[in-house]
Amino acid sequence: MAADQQARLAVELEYYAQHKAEWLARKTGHYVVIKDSGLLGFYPNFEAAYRAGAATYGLNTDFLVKQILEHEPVFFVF
Amino acid sequence: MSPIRGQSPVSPTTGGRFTETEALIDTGAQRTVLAPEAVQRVGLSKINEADIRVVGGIVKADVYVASLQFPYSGLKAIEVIEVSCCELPHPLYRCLLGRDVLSRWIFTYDGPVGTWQISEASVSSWVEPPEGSELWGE
Repeated sequence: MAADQQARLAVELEYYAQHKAEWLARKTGHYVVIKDSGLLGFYPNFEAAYRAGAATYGLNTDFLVKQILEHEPVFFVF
Repeated sequence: MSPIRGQSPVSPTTGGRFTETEALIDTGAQRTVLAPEAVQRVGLSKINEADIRVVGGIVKADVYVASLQFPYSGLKAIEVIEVSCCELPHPLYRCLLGRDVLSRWIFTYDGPVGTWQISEASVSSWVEPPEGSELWGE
C-alpha cells in the first residue's frame, strides 16, 4: 500500500482502535461510520452504513465504514 | 475463471464518474478486487483497509466503495459494494469479480462443454457468447 494511501483514514482507524473494545461489547457485527474523530453511528449492514455516511459527508470524501469484529478478517483473493 | 465486461461505477458512490474495464470471474476470490490504476481513474473514496491473502502472503489493502454495472448482460447493477485494491498478476484484467458479486447470482459452469451461465431471479439468463463473436460491438 502506498504511503499516501495509508495516510487516508489514519485518524479514523486510530479512533476505531481506541473504541473497539467498548463497541465489541454491545455492537459486534454492526458497521460503524467514522469521519475524522467523530462517530456518525452504527448500522446493521454495509450498505446502510455507507449510505448514511454519504448522505452526511458527501460522495467525494473518505470516511471509515468498518464492521465491528473481534478478529480482523483475512480475505482470500488469489 | 472467465472474462466478463464490467463497468464501474455510477451514481450513489461516485457521483457519476465511471470507467469501463474487462473483469475476470474468480470463484476463488472472496472479494472483488480492482487494480490501483482502475481505482485512480475513477477517484473512488476509501472506506477501510483490510488484510487480503494473495500468492506469497498477506498484504494490507485499501478498500473503496464502488458501483458496478454489467452492460449488455441484462444483469442488475450493484449500487454499493466494497472493492479491495491491489496489484493484479494478469495485465489484461484490472478487475476480479469475487464471490461477493457471484453470491448475488446463480452461476452455472458446465465443465465438459466449457460454458458458463449467469442468471438472476428477475432477469433472463446471460450465456457466454461463442468464441470470437462480437457481443460488445467493438
